[in-house]
Amino acid sequence: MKKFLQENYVGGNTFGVVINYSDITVKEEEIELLLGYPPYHTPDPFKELIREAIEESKRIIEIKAGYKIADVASKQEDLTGLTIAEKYFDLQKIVTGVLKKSDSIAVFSLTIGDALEAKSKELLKKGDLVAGYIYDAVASITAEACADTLHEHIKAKMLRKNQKVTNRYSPGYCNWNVIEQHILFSLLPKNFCGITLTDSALMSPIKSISGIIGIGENVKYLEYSCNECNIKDCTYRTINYLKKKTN
Amino acid sequence: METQELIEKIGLCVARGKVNIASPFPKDMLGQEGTDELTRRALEIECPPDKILLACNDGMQVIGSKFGRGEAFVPELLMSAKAMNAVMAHLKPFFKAGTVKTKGKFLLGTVMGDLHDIGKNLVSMVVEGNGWEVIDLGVDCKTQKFIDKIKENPGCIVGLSALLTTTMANMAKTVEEIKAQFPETKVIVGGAPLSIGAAIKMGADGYSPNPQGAVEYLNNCLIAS
Ligand code: B12
Repeated sequence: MKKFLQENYVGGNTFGVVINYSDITVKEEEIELLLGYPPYHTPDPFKELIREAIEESKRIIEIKAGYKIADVASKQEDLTGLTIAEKYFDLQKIVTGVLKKSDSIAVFSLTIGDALEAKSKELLKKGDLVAGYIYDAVASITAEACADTLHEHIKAKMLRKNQKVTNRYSPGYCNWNVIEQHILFSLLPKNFCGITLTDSALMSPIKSISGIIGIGENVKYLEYSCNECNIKDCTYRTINYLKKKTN
Repeated sequence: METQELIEKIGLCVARGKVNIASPFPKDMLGQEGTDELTRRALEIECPPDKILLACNDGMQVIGSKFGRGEAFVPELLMSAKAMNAVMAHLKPFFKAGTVKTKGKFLLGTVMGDLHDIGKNLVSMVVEGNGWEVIDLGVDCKTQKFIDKIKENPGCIVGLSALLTTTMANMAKTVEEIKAQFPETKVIVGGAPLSIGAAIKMGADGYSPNPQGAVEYLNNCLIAS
């Protein structure tokens, strides 16, 4: 981590984190993958369109991110869930296994706002189908890049206290039911990062991510966490693979 | 250009996704006329619109099979759909007059509680490009909305889209209700959390992970009927 990001304390162990575009890394090859192309196979002029969309995204996205540090309690015999800030989360085996040794948990959410998505819709309406599709994919990968940065930030902050962090996990992944978004959001201030949750557990703006990260002296970061998940055709599995290859 | 040559060229432009002379795609056809200019010219010399449409259909089939073989991807499908839309714009008067007809009606919407619509929109455009009339009901569609629209459009085929497992549960309820009221109506489902297994379980007739599969399903319904 080169530099520390600015934080704003909002009370209740909760922090807003200022992420600027220059703090995130958006990789073209990840966008290509999401569009459906094998890495480095996107034909012209779509590659230029991707670059244009990235440039536009720099101008119009509004990144908002933050997290809360919550207490965690685990029962030795319970392998499928944890109690975070006095709320029980039915995390299932994979996530519980990784987070069990945490001393505390960072509960986070972030969004890039809805401007890029609105732009995508506008292009689709105008009949610019590929451009609309590309803008949407750029928005998705940008949100994911913000999550990487927030993760790095929390990691760097904890390192100063000699604590380590785990991988991050989101409701809806690794068999953790997405309906538990409701419990996760109940831990954060209302409208935190300007994100609202519908009854059906969908975040608005759409390009938003929520999740948890374990913190503690005895926790581990798993390089190959995808191997434990049963979703084989997940885009993130491919993206993670690509990241390992290019890093 | 001869009539036949012109028609064939339109079909080729659909297959390659060449929309008009200004379009930078595909690279090897830079500066050449696309479906827009060619269709206008074809109609000027009174090419039969049904022949033009037939050639376009063949063109869409070419790109569709390339997609099926993994030689083309969603963006190429979209370029072909766009090229096809340019043809359709010129043929509008003939559709209105009844000289040519769409293949049928496809009623498409994102289910209740869900606001994600990029996937649905892509399906809509590719299906339309393949000669279907698409009635897009938008996002967060309550079951009743589908029911009302099916009543208004007898014989239509219904497509449902969802992003999360939570809204996939709403999708299952919508499929059930449609099937209860209109057992004859065909329903195809899609979206990130779906699978063939989930589609069968909710009683849908079809499932596809991509727009091309939706087109193939719809075209097969034509053969079956
Ligand atoms: C990119 C992505 C994101 C992006 C953007 C999401 C978005 N909605 O725009 C970001 C990073 C923001 C994100 C966030 C989240 N995501 Co996400 N995400 C994805 C990913 C990798 C791709 C989705 C996508 O945009 N694809 C591109 C579009 C064009 O495709 P599509 O909409 O699926 O449509 C295509 C097909 O499905 C099909 N289709 C669509 N509709 C129809 C209809 C018919 C009739 C037919 C035939 C076909 C069809 O054709 C379309 C074109 O090819 C998927 C995994 C995957 N590989 O699909 C997970 C996925 C959708 N996400 C998932 C989850 C859980 C989440 C979060 C809840 C995680 C979290 N807690 O933060 C949030 C939810 C966001 C919210 N607003 O609530 C789960 C959802 C399943 C579930 N458990 O409920 C998925 C499936 C991953 C997984 N676990 O397997 N996500």
